[in-house]
Amino acid sequence: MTLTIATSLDEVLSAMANGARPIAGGTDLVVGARQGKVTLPADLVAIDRVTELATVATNDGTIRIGAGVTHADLLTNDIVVRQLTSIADAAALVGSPATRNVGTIGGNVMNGSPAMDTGAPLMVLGANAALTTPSGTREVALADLWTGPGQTSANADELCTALVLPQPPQSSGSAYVRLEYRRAMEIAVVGAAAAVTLDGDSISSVKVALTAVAPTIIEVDGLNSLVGSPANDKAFEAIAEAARQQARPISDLRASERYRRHTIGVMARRAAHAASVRASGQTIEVPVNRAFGIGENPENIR
Amino acid sequence: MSLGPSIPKPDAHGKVTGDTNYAGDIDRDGQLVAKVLFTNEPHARITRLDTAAAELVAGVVCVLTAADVPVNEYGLTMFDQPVLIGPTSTARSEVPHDVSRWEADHLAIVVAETSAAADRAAALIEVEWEQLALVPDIDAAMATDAPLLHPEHPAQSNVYHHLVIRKGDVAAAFAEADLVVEGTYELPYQEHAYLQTEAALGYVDDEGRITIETAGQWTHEDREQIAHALGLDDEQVRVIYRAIGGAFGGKEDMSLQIVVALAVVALRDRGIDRPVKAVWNREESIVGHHKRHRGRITTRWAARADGTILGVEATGHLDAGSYNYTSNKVLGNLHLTVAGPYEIPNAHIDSYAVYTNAVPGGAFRGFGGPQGCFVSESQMNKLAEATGLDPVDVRRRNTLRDGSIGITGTEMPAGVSLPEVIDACADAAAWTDPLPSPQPIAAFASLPPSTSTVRRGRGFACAYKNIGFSFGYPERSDAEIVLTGPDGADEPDGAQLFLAGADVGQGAHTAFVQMAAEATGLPFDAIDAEFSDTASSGDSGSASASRLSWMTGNAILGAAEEADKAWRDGARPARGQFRYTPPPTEPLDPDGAPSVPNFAYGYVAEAVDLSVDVETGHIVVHDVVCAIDVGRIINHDLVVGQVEGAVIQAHGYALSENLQVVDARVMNPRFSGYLIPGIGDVPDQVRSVLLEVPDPRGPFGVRGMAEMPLMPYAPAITAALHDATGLWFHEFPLTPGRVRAALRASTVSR
Ligand SMILES: Cc1cc2nc3c(=O)[nH]c(=O)nc-3n(C[C@H](O)[C@H](O)[C@H](O)COP(=O)(O)OP(=O)(O)OC[C@H]3O[C@@H](n4cnc5c(N)ncnc54)[C@H](O)[C@@H]3O)c2cc1C
Repeated sequence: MTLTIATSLDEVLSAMANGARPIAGGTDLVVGARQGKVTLPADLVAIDRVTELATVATNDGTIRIGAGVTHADLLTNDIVVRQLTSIADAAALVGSPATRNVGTIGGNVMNGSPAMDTGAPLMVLGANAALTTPSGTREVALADLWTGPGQTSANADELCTALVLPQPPQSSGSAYVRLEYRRAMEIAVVGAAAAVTLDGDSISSVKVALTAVAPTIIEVDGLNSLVGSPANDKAFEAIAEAARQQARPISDLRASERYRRHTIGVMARRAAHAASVRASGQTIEVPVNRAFGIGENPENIR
Repeated sequence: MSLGPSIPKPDAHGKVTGDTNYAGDIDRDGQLVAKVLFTNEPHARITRLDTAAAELVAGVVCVLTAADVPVNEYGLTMFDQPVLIGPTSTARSEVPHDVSRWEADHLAIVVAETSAAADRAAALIEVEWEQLALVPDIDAAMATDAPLLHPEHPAQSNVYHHLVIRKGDVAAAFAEADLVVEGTYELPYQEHAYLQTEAALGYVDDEGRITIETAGQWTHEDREQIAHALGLDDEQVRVIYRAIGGAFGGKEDMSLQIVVALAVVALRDRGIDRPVKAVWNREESIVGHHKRHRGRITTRWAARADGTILGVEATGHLDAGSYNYTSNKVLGNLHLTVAGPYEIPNAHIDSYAVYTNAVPGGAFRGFGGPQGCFVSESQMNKLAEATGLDPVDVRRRNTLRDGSIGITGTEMPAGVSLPEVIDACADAAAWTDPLPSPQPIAAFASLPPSTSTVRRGRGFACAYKNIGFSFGYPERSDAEIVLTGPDGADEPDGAQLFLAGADVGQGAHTAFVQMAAEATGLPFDAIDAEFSDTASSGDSGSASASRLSWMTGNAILGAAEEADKAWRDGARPARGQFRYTPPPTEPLDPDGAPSVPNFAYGYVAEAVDLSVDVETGHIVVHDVVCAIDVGRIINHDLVVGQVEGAVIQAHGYALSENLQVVDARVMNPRFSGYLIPGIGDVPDQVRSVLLEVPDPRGPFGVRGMAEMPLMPYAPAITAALHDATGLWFHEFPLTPGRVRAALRASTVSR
């Protein structure tokens, strides 16, 4: 077994070209290996010291979130909190401070769990994953990236370098709502993200994506019919109904299929409502973590 | 002078900074690793066991099997469990050793240089099984064609222990009744979830004793069980407790003690003088030790329209699992609490313990009391609803008081303070004031608090619990105090205290020293104490049954008096040894005739205020008032710590801790799937209301108090949920899914 501690992107890419697998925070990989869920790859390249992967930048209508940006950074990053609020919502929920300080958005996305928290927000915000090899970079829509639980369409030698998102238009807001049984150190039972753009009081765009109700994160189809209608309870209820219909939840130790199907509607409605409130210019603080009263202070946002 | 103030625990600093050594932290020179292999077979007969390949693995010192166990049986109250399962074993055991009855039965012990070598060897142990019909639960165990799990037990039935109460004329009570309230209640498992997993370090000490450093609840009982299985005298075995990271009843039974002692003997016999250590990881701990019993209880109460209880009928079954552990004793407590702390003139109660292949049930804070209390208090709250009486008033009408005849037909021990406790709780909770309208809640972290789908309610429950082992067990507690002082001094200026009683984190050692200081008149810092080593102290009995302060306090008082006498007689140092023997108790009569099972009780009442999100089923608890009579406060903060800790442990029991056992296997043996509450989930506030009505026989008036606050919480929560939604819950934990399903089935929410 080998471990290469890379400090530049080139080093990572060449190690991967030679068969090494990337490790960022290790909060999925190492924990999974300890539990016997996965075997630790024989050759690893640590990417957490590659600073070029750890930045959030805006350029010409596009926001690039480096794959190595940690959850702790996401939820205090000014661009993310103000323009991509639902991603901050999600990052704030991940695990504990320890998990958030080392766990990365790239690891979250590439781990491919249908219960990942940043996935639904990224999807409603229209993110693509930038996948890089020594010969170049391609951008893949998330719907094409995730192919099943723990599976992606990325090739073994492709490093996710960034999540690339269009800058949301004016009067936009997004929110992520997760149903959990415990307020920290938990996994989504179900979750929903919504991104809404308003034109006055009416909806000019709405997207909703769902967590933990299908083999991958899924986007709710058919919401275009709501464009032009007012952002009110009737619209939110239509979103809830669409979410319930399109969810394909399973029963497992954590919840019954029926409970998941019911609550995914509740989550979708609450997410759409919160996104609309934000789109209308009102503030709903990012919940880091509301139970502890942390993060409600805007001074925590830098 | 030394009693009452919140003297900080002397052990606190080391624990917080990480300096303190727990058994698993101690490494000795040349230490070997022992790994215990579980059978992973809930019910199967072993037909072949071959360790040859395992023994050849580099770094393996030896592999021990049933053939190496001198007396292949153990158990805290009955020897019904083989130390190791194997096709061949010593004849000196009653229980068949070739059948695995539990997925965590022990198959072999690998002793090796490293844990990697031990793991490699364990994987090479060859074993063949013949599957036997599985008995996954109580219903299967009671089926007519159920296989007999313990053919060695005289009962010759999986239903192996039965307790009865026959009091008065129950048929007449029901005939006379204006109303009847009834219910069948399903009680869940609970995992102890102590921070410190099981660990034991073994070696031969300077005096040739097989020595085990571990964490447990009763050094001398551990020693007895180790000695029994090893075929040794008690004196040839020594047990030392290092710092203990929680126990809650879960460390009352053997885990690694016997197997590590076996390894020590095997090494000694091979001429290898090296220590050996074993530590369980979290999964091993959760799979490998007993749980609070699950069970089912059906009951009917007859009452007058004015709320007076006329009679109680109850039938309860506890799933003892694959081995007895303390099930026969836990059953006794369920039996005494199922009709509640009330005057019940007529009662007909049957309680049964049932063997299955599931994880054993055993001791856990409250020891059958939480299960009984859930039933009695749910019944009481239903009675309040049926009569239209206030839940507090209906309790006041029926409560036990001084001079009352208890459920076993004899007078309650003096000092029944429940009436005062009920009043204190109702007062502190402002029970008669209307509940303020909905308080905004955030059912989970990602949304700001709101009231839109929220309903609020409050509930009340109370409980009593015995102090001590009860039922005729010959209780005792030893202590020794040695008074010291400079030559020629008239008065001592210091004292040594020797005592075995375990500090499982509750602060017992701090309380002992405070009591010793009080008893000798010396300052706290002048007491030099040595605890929990069978080589230096007599038997204190266990840290359980809310008994330790009560029993050791009396022993300390006696030892101080003896030491003082010796000092007055001129002895230097002045040694005082004392064995305290509490008032005798009686076993329950097999036909249910009157008996005196206990010498003391503690009393508690709780009121809770909660909100529920009817769309998702999430519950947020705003306020808990716990009124408890502790008799006399030894250390205020430690008492409050026990109240708050018990309430939070009960919060998990009532709401989120959902141990799932399918086909006799634990499905969620990790804290990622077995959800104990986090700091963000616990009640917004817990208010301790401490009463000091002295127990006439307790030391300084002390009563036991550490279990009681756990008991009324779950039924207080279901009462509050009923207040909020109109629904009764006969089952918990009240996971959001369960609450939501009940709401959906009703008309409360869309
Ligand atoms: C206690 C705990 C709580 C948790 N709670 C949550 C939670 O609430 N919500 C949630 O969503 N997750 C949770 N997780 C899971 C985990 O923390 C997150 O998914 C995290 O974002 C993973 O990031 P990482 O950097 O640690 O990934 P790693 O473990 O380093 O990697 C995960 C996988 O992605 C691959 N990978 C990593 N980076 C890249 C890259 N740039 N390009 C290509 N492949 C890559 C790795 O090879 C590996 O297969 C929790 C984990 C723990 C241990």
